[in-house]
Amino acid sequence: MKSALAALAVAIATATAFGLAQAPAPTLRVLSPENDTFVGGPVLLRAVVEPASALTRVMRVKFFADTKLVCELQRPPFECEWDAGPGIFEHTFRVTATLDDGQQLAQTVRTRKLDVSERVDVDVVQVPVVVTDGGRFVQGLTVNDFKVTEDNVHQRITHFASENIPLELVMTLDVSGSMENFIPSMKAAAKRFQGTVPPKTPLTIFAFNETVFTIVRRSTDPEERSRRIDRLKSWGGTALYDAIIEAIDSVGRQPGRRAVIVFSDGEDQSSHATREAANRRVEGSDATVYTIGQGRAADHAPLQKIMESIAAVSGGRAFFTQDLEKLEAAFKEIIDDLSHQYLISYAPPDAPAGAWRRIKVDVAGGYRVRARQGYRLTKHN
Amino acid sequence: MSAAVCGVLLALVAAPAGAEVRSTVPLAGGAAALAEASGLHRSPGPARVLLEVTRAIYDAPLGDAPGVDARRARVLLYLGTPAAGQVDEVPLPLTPAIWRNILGRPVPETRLALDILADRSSALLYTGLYSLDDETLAWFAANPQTLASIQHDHAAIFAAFGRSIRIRNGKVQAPGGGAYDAVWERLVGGPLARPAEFVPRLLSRGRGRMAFFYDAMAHVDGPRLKFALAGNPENLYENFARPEEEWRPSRRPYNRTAVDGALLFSALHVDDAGRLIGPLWSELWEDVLSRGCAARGRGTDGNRDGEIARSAPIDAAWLASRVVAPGVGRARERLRLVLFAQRVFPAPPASSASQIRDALCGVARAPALMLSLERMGARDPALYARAATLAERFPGQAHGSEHRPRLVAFQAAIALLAYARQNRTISAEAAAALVNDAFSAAEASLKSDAGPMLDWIDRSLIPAFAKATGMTLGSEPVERIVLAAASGVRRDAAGPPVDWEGMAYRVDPASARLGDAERVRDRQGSASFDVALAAHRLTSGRGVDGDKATLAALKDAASNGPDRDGDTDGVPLNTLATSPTRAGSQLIAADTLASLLYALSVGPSTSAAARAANVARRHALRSAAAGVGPTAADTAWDLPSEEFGPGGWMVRGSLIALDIGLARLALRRQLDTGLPPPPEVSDNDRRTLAETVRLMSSSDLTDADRDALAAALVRGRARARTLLSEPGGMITLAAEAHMGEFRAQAIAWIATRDPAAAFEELWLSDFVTLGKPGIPADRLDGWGTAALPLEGGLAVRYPAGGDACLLAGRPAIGMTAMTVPDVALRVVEVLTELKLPAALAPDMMAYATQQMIDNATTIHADDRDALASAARRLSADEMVDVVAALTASGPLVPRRTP
Repeated sequence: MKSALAALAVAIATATAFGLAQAPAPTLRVLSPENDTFVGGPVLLRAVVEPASALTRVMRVKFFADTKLVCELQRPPFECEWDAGPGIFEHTFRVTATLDDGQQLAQTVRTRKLDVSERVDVDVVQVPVVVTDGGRFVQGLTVNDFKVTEDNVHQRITHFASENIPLELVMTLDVSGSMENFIPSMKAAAKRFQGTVPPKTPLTIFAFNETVFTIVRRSTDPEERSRRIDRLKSWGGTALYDAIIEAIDSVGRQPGRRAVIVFSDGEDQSSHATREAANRRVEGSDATVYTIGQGRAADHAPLQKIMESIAAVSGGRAFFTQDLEKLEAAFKEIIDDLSHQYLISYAPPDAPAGAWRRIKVDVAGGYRVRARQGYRLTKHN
Repeated sequence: MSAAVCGVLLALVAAPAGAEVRSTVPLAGGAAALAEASGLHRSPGPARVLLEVTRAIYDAPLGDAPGVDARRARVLLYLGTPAAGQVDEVPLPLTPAIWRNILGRPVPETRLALDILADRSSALLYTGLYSLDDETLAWFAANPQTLASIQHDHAAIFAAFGRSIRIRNGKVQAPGGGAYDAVWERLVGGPLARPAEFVPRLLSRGRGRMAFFYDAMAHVDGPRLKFALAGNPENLYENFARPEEEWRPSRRPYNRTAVDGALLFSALHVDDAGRLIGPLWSELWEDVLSRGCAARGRGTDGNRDGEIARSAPIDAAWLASRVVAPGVGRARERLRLVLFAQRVFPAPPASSASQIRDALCGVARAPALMLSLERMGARDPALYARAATLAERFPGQAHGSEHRPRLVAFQAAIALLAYARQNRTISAEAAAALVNDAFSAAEASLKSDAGPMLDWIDRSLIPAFAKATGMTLGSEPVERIVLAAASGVRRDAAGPPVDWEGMAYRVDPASARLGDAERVRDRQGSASFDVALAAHRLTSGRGVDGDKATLAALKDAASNGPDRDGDTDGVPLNTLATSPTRAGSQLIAADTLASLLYALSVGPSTSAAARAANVARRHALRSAAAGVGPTAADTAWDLPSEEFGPGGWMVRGSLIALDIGLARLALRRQLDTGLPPPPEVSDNDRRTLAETVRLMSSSDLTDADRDALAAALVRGRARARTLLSEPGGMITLAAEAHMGEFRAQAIAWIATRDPAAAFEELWLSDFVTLGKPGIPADRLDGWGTAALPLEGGLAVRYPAGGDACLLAGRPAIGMTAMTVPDVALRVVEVLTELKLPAALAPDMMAYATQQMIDNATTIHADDRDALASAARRLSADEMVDVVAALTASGPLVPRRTP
């Protein structure tokens, strides 16, 4: 152990200091973000191993943001994305490169926080909207077809989009002990769902029991996602509401559609958050939540009610079945839903934190409209 | 009993010349396949496999335990047709010829191990023999009739307690040596000089109870043995274990009750002369243990002091009769009371007898308050007696709109003081003085409402905190001053500089704690403490113009206040901003104080608990179901604990010592990617490990002690390597490392075949014992483990090298983890190698402990070896990543260029 640590320490020192006379020692350099800068929202993390001749020796490069692993790469370009959230806070980014002889290079950069007032400030409210007519999606609508009110006050739509809207998905899987008998079918269902995700759409997968674990982050690789799902096993308590908060917090803030798909039996026993707190977080987000009732939730009305309420407030839907065929149809509906969403935005009036703001979207023509029912301003909006 | 790893003070005495007492036989199918067939989660290896499988399948006779029956059926089936191919050699005490004689048939050597395992009595006999030293084994080899008798009648008891049988020159060497020979001959009813008579009687008397007593006495140190046997050994023996209907070692040899005489006498504090430490007055203990504290409240009566002080001193038998004999449900609490008295009042003056009695009654009634006083360093019996009286007057009033804020304010004041003391913001003397003042304010509060308590916080506590932190009242928010003081921010604190991965840092755990607390507060949404105090001043007629400016903030606080979660006890908050009421402002203050405590206790601000809005509102002071009796109905002064259920997570108990109640949240994973396998370490042991992280204080750890421990580890490794390579060196190693009988025999057997493999069997704590760090016990304790499961104190203690078997087979109440300081020792190694300060250890422990739990694969619930091995295996890479993690919101704070 001693020698390994000593070698590591020496490697770190040399990686950041001197090269050897004959063959320059490989060094790792973080290109982005830079030290002492400010970051917020989506951040591109970039690093380089030099000299180029040393690249063949690199086994893997890991990026950590605030101690959490963001991505692991085997070959250049060594870059990945991370969402720093809406505020400008201090962050620590650490990048490590492991060489073929076990040597580890590392560099850390810290960004700075911006001292801002605590005033709640939301620039835009984004509202994804699904319009149907007798079960069929209504397409081709324009901004003039929509009317938005907030607390019965008409709002001017500042942004409207109906196609080429970026989509980000989060799938959250309940692997708690109470799901033990249903894990095989849930895994099969989850794999089917992730297989239906449009190419290049990033999908983050969480698994939760009493803790939330990241299974894959913003992956666009269906095979990798499927492999990771296959490895899941059930154990532990159920912290559904904590998992929903984690999922909502994990989606990006950039303009676009985002959806959270939750597979669970709805039987929360371990969450630190209350159901109300989870609902509030959903209310504060523009992500659409879809819940897939598994296990007991497939036929237990009180559990179904919980999952329905979480989905409804976001403008999403709840499905309750363990029949793979029916689930497949549900998945198609979800993807169709997301594919046919209109995205409208408006600048909200000033409001105190915590207040619930009711949104109503109307579309001319008597169509059925499904949209988030409102939002609540919190410091996390 | 994790047979392979328990025991102590082995006598690996060589057999008389010429006697063959140990052999090796082949195990068809190999150890791994047998372990797998037995349902063991990992293979214990050839040296231990027969022991562990025996425990797994013969823990109960047929029909007693369906789970054991099923496992046994699977193994017996396997033994008929073991896996093909692999053959491992396994140790065999005595010779194949003797075993053929024991089995009564000519078994081929290739079947011998399998046939021993196929028969319960033979397998248990094997277990007992395995632990014996060579000379004792030689005696058994020469006395086949005794062996046959044990196999036939006492195999289970022999497996459980036979390890303590020592025979030298044809005579039994009893615990304590010659001075106690007569005692043992009288107790057992047989002559030591005739082992063939003595040993069967020892094993049969009391259906194993005498063997248990004998074994326990063989494993306590000299002073404790002297104390135990000095009085009336017959009476002590009668009260030493639970009766037949509760404990039947002859049927369940691996099973122990939670607290018995063995545990009691291993834990008691005794001086070098064998005298019990602490209050010995029998009248005091009768009050506390026998009369249920019915006589409490007479502490001011000087005559009672005299009556107590004149009463006869208690002895070993008396203690056992009052602690062990009353029953499993109460024994643990009683043991903790005795140990509390020994720790806090080691040399009590007679003039304080009644106060000490009241204090002990208070420990049973209000453990959170009394244990926190101890944690703060208080030793004045009068302070404890006053605390006990206060706690008694508070709880019945915990409910109701006017009472809850009063209780919360009192508990919060004590809790904040406790945090400030734990993190060394204030001295023990200052803490004791402030606690005394707080008690006066609480007494005034009892006559009115929370007002006097809030006034005291406002006028006394906060100025004291400001002074200690070096912050200026008026220029810093009050809330920041309070959080800073509780976090350990000090006027005179300056952490050492550290260079890490090319960047400059300073070690500042207090700043890290403060930062975390402030981030959690930001998410909670309750009123700031400044606003809450301003509202209190305003509604107390002490408002100033500036305070009125806070009314707008109050309105916001009301809209985010506790009413949102339906817990206002009937006080309307919606009108608070327009017409503030005293009751309303106190409710807001109580909500804020509870929120502050949670912000200081939920751990890193990135945890689920910290992100789940305001979890302080999920705290219940009282039990949902009203209990019966003086202590059952109210949990307001109990140590807080988490509960999980259909309503989700909640915390019940006191707001004091919340950091311990929420210890689980202290553990951190360096990576959250991927789902780890289910933890095999029991829930309670995981709790003990988490409590260790919370109780370990960076203020108590010095770089000099870190270096001394690291040097001891180096010396210990070198010493172990040397001894393992020398003929007979294992005897010395086992003795120097205080190694148990079973473990020592297993490692000795491995060493004869592969010294390098034997070296890998050793724990970091073995190396420290071998390397003799030379650190005073109180400082070594700082690197120890949570003492809460056994002694009940809120402290870490370095585990003494006692009897590792002692805790085996007991209900999993978290004591196994208490014996494993190895994670801290691994952290010591890494800190030393990387030249990092000792003050980083607690934060590194938060990650390293979780990693150890994730890595540990246990064979039994009390598998100490699994924990120690997992700690030793924590890799250098993992630990370096942990250090890196401490640079992000951890105690490694960047040193920025001005």
